[in-house]
Order: sequence, then C-alpha cells, then structure tokens
Amino acid sequence: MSFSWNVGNFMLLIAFVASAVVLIGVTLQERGYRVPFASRLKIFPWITMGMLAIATLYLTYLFLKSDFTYMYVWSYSSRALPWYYKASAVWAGQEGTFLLWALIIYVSALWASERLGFEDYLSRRVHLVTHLIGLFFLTMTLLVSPFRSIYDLYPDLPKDFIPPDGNGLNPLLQDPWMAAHPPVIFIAYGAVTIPFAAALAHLWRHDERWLSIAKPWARLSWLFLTLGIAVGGFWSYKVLGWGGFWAWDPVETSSLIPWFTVTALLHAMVQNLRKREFPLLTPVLAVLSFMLVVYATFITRSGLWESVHAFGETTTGPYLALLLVNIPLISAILIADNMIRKRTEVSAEAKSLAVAFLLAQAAMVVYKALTQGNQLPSVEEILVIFGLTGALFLLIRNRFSGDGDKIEEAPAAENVQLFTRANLFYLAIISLLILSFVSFWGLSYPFLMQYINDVKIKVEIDFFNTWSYPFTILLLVTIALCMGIGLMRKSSLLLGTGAVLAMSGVAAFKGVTGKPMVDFILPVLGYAFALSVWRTTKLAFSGAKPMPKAKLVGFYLIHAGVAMIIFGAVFSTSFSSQRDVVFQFVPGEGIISERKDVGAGYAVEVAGINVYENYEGYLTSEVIVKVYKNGRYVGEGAASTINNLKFGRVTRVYINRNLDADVYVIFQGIGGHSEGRIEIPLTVKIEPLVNILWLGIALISIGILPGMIIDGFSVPWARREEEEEDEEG
Amino acid sequence: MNPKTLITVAALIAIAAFAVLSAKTTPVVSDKDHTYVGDLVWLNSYEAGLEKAKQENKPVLLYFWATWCKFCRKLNTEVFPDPEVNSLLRERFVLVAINIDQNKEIPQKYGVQYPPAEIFVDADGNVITSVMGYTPKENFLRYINTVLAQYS
Repeated sequence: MSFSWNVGNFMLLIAFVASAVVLIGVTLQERGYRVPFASRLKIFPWITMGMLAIATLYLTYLFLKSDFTYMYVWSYSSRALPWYYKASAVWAGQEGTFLLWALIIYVSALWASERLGFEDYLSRRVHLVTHLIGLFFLTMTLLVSPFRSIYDLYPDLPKDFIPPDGNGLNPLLQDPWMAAHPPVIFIAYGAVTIPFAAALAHLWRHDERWLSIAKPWARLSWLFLTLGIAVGGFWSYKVLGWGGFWAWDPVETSSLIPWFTVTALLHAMVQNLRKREFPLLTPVLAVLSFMLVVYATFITRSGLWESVHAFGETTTGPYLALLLVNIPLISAILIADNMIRKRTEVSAEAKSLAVAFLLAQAAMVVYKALTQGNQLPSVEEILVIFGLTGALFLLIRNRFSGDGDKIEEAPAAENVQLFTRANLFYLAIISLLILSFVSFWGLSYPFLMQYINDVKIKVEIDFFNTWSYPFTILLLVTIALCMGIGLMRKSSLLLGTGAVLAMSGVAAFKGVTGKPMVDFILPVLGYAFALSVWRTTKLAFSGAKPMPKAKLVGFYLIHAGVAMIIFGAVFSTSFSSQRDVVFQFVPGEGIISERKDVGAGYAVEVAGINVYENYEGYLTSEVIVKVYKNGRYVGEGAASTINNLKFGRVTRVYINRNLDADVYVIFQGIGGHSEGRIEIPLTVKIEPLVNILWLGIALISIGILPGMIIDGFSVPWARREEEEEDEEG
Repeated sequence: MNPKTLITVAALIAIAAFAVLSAKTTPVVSDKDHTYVGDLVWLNSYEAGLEKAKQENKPVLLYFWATWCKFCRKLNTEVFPDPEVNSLLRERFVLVAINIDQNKEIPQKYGVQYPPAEIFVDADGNVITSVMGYTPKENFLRYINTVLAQYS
C-alpha cells in the first residue's frame, strides 16, 4: 500500500494526531491520572475538525482545477465537465465519502467537546467512543486516501508525466441530485455516532442525562436519513433502468433498515424521557442503529451485493467488517451485564473483557497493516485474537472498579391493561423493528445461503413487497391506534379499527380495483391518515402552551405523512400504465404534427428534434415533447438519449409532473425509415398520484423541524426537560 | 401475562414465522449442480453438458446469464416458459446455464462479454448458432428449429 506524502495527507495526519491526543487525554483522565494538558483538550477537536474541513475544501479545489496527478481526481473527473459536476465528483467514490463521513463525525465530536466539556465522566466516555469511531474512519480515509498521487500508485510513471485528461464521471452521476444525495446520506450516517456513543456510555455506567445528549443528534440523523432516502428515490425515479423511486436495490434497502431503527429509537426516547420506560431498549436501539449504518456502508463498499450503486466498491470491506464484529460483541457484553446484574454500572470483569478484546484486535490490526494489508483475518489469527483477549483480560482485570448500586426495580405495576399508551408505543417500536428485520433478512439471507450452501436464491422486489406488506398493515393500524387513543374512548377506537379492518377484508374479497392487496390496504391507509390529521388539527386548535404544541403538531403530522408516502407508493406502482407511440419526421419538411393519446386523459405531441454534441462531446439526440391533458396544454420538455462512448448510452427522460399523474416520456433514439419518413419512437408511462408520495416525504421532513428547532442542540442538564412532562398523546 | 411480554412473544413468533416461511417459499435459482430458471433445469457444468450431449446425441444450449441482468429475467419469464419453447428445449436439448459472475472461462471461450447470450453448440463444443442478447419468443423459436434442422 502506497502512501503519498503531500499537503492533503498531511492535513489528514494532523487531524488524526489531534484526535488521538483527545482519546489519550480522556483515557488518562478516566484512569484517574492528572492530565497536564487537560484544560487545553478542547482545542484538539477544533484542530481535527478544521483540518478535515480544509482537506475537504482542498479536495474540491483539486477537482475544480482538474489536477489529474491525484488518482482520485483522475478516476472521477474530466476537463470537459461543468464546474458543478466537478465539485460533486468529490463524493463520487469511497475515498471522498469516507472523508465526508469523518468530517461529520468530528463536527459532532466538536459539538460534544464544546457543549459537554471534559470534567464529567459521562462526557468523557462520550468523547472516548466518538473519537474512537472517528479515528477508525480517519484511518480508513488515510488508507484509501483521496490524496494518493498517481506517481506513488504507479512508480513506473515518469515524474513529469501529467495525464492529459481524467477518466470522466459516470454520466449517471452527472446529475444535480448527485450534489445532494451522498452528503445528505453521510450526514445522517455520521450523526448517529453521538447517540451511539452516549448509549454506550450509559450502558457502561447508568446516567439518564445520556438521553439529552443523544436526542438532538438522533433527530438530525432521522431527518437527513429521510431526506437522503427521498432524494435517492427522487433521483432514481427519473433515471431509466434504476427501477423507479424504489426498487429494493441492496444499497437503497440498506439505508432503509437504519431508518426504521432510528424511528423506533425516537419513539423509545419519548417514553424514556417521560416515564423512564424502555430503560434498556432505548440504548440498545441507538447501538443497533449505528451498527446498521456501518452494515449499510459495508454493503455498498464490499462489492458482495449486486447493486446500481456499484460505482466505487473496493478495499475497505474487511475494515468495516472489523467494526461490524466489534460493535455487537462489545455492546453485547455491556447489555448482557446490564440485563443480568441490573446494576447502575457494569462489572469490573465486563469492562476488562471489553477493553481486552479491543486491545487484542488493535494489536492484530497493527500487525496486519504492517504485514500484508487489508486481508480478512484467517481462522488462526482470529484464535490468536481470542487468546490475546484472554491474556489481556487476566492482566487488566484488577485495574477496573465496577458494580455500582442495585437498580431499584419499580414495584410490579398493575400493568394488565393491554390497551395503554405505553403498550401502543411498544407495539409501534416492535412493528418498526420487524419491518427493519424483513429488509435486513432479505439482504442478508441470500448472501448467507450463497456462502454457506452455494445456493443462489431469488430475492427480488416481490420478496420485499410481499413480506413487508403484513407488517406495514400492522404499522398502519398501530399509527391509527396511537393517534386515535387521544381522540375517543378506547372502546369506540377498537370498534372503529375493527370496522375498518372488516371493510378492508370485504373490499379485498369483493375485488374493488382487482388487486386484493391494494384493496385491503387502502381503507387502513385512509383510516390512519384521517386519525392522524384529526389528532393534529385537534391539538393545533387546542389551548396548549405554544412551544410543546408546535413540536407535537409536527410529530403528529409525520404520521399523516407516512400514510401519504405508503399510499403514493402503493397506488402509483399498482396503477401505472405504459404505451409505445411512434411519431414521424420527414427530412426537409419537419415533424408530422399529431397528438397521440397515452392514457388517463393525457396526450403527447413531438414539437421538435435536435441532434448535437453535449459538453463532453458525445452525440445527443433530443426530442421536445408537448403534453396535453384533455386537450389542454400542460407543459413541455426534452427527452434525450446520449451516446456516451465510454460508459454506454444514457437516456434522460422527460417527466411532466401533475397532481393526478406524472407523464414519463422515454426517448431511446431515432427509429427506422419507412417511405422517406424517419420514425421517432417514444415510450410514455403514466404514473398516477405519485406526487402524494413526494408530498408525504415533504410533510414528514417538515414535521420533525419544530421539535429540532425548539429543543435545539443545547443540553439542558441543569433543568430536567420540563416541557416533556407536558407532552400528551 | 404482562401485555408487553405478550407483544414481545407475538413479535418473536411473527419474525420466526416470517424467516421460516420466506426461506421456504423463496425460489432457489441455482445450487451447486443445477440452475432453475425459466421453468427449466439447467446443468451448471459445461463439461458435464457436453458429456451428456454425447450420450444422448443432442445439441447443447449454453445460456450465459447473471442474477442482475434485466434481459435475462425477461428471457426467464417470457421466452423459456412459453409452452412450445419450453417443451422443445426440455426434450431435444441439453441445457447448460453459465453464470458469468461465477464462471469467467467459458464466456471468454465463446466471446461472451455481457449477458444474456444463448449459444447453441454440438457435443464437441463447436458453435452451431449464437444469439447475443435478448430475443423475443418468435425469433428464439426460429433459432431452435434451425439448430434442430441442422443437427439431425
């Protein structure tokens, strides 16, 4: 593995060292030593974050000036690209995305250091975990550095050789959404670090304050995860061959899995803050979310899954695997100890075991890095790790204190009523977890089967749709019950829910639309939506205090948004139609003007055709299409096809968006000749009510904002969160 | 029983049921020796295919495919399951499916660079007819009949 000694890598190294100083500092403090530079520890996160920010800007600069002596720039850019695609190529490959991820982690590490300080043991442990994770990502950034120079990678190159042009950016990535999708997703992934760190710190030694550290970041992560998935879907929708807004592509699916668990985490937090409910489930969900985020990256980067995201898979798989092994094992030690001993602090043995395990692996990683680089460890080496763990455990066992007080168990409450708010929250969390498991299993199970039995099984769109279906119904019913419980008596709510489900059953049996699965879900969707809206409006016009009211109105609105998303997705997928139409063009005379019906009251007409070379010099043919609804003009745009010689032909569709349906026009090149006429074949799809989906996403993204803005990123330790006590419903 | 325990148990049962049911109902596409696509059973081994072709005196259809390939899926769902195509392939041919992600050597031998590709060969592996890419049912049937006419 070659390492380039240059400005960019130097900045990364400074960032690394500064973070390592923090890690060493808090470790020493933790062990009870007086740290001479303790009062200055706050400076170091600034250095790390600053260096990473400058390195990111510097990388962007290298892209803008097309410095192809850097391997990464050469691989993903070319001179002909407009500046904005050059800039967004910064995160076209894994090198750039890891840098971005590390940057986000250190932004949150900086927040933690400024807000929490270093005096408090809880804060120190949050720093410990955050910087440990940060250093892990920095190490990966250094290993597959975006600043590797071509001269170091290819020592045979003459030193004065400068590549005349770059390899170019995949035309599918030459899209405005490319500027937004990766950073948004990686902000979401990076933002789970603090909840994870706080949860681990809390499992280590109980401290309810962990929730106020974790909450703002969990919400931020949820918002960006939502936006990231939505932007991905919006982009995928207009790219031909990516299978529409959602195709259960492995990488898409892998980002949905943590979305479910973060959503569950937010719900658990609400109840935990208010009633000390879910004392163990809440931190477990935080840990799980972080783990699944790493798993998502592993899926993208390992290259073991076949995906439309196969843009930059390479060498970091084994390192991520390391993280994927460690987080569950270390967390499992802590969680098991918490569960079995029920004390406020984990035992000395559990602590030593966790630390010994980490140290043993660190030793193995150093050994591996020095010898053969990034290979998965052999069975012998894994045994060595365990042996080393055992030895270290014996060595350091006496260096920890532990135990803490016995947790006072609440007197066994008369919790025999099934239909309570607490139980409904639990039901919601559980249905979210089941949904995340369905996706997780659909991704992991075929992989397991292939590697264990060498059997390939067919897990495609149908698998995920079919198996998510019953649990989506469960989730919707739970939403309806949660929203409805504040609106009416329990008996009426149960009766209403029963009636709706019966209606669903009858509709499916009778066959209203001809698709039983759609017939069944529609009444449930309507019911969940109606109750959510009712609850939102009732609260909005109530006399509650404005601050908690605004937050809750937002949160309730999210539930209506979820119903809209599911409705839009189900309806547009089930009732989309497609038609092929052919227009004719007479050379010298022009296009034969005619309107062709494409269904749902829509008609299209070709108004012009252009053939030109695009900015990369590739031949592009473009058709101008006019769209009419019931004879009335509703818009026009260009559908084109680019003959990209390097990456293959690319089709850019024209989407005419309307409230009732999208008209989706595909042009894949000029057709044949007949009787002196040239044919222009178009494929036109009608996607009904797909915009309800986008509206729903907008609604849930807006819904979280009042909560985030009002609560802010402060950590109100001095006062308990009084307003939380007022939250109803 | 405590309602929370009840929900937990119900959830665990649901998850277990899902895992077992989904595992049972998800079709196997291929195992060590065979591939199961397009309502047909294909051999995975090129050599075994030629061997069988010699014994039974039949031509061989080499089908180059991949799990991610959209047009392979179209062949599997629209062309191979067609009754006429299906019965001809079943009775008169030795069928070999080569997953191009797992086998690089045979695709190279026949110059296959992308899936799908349908190549008809004799028992010695010599090409009779090759179809690169997807072809609709009518065309495919024509290829089959040409091969059969040449082979007998």
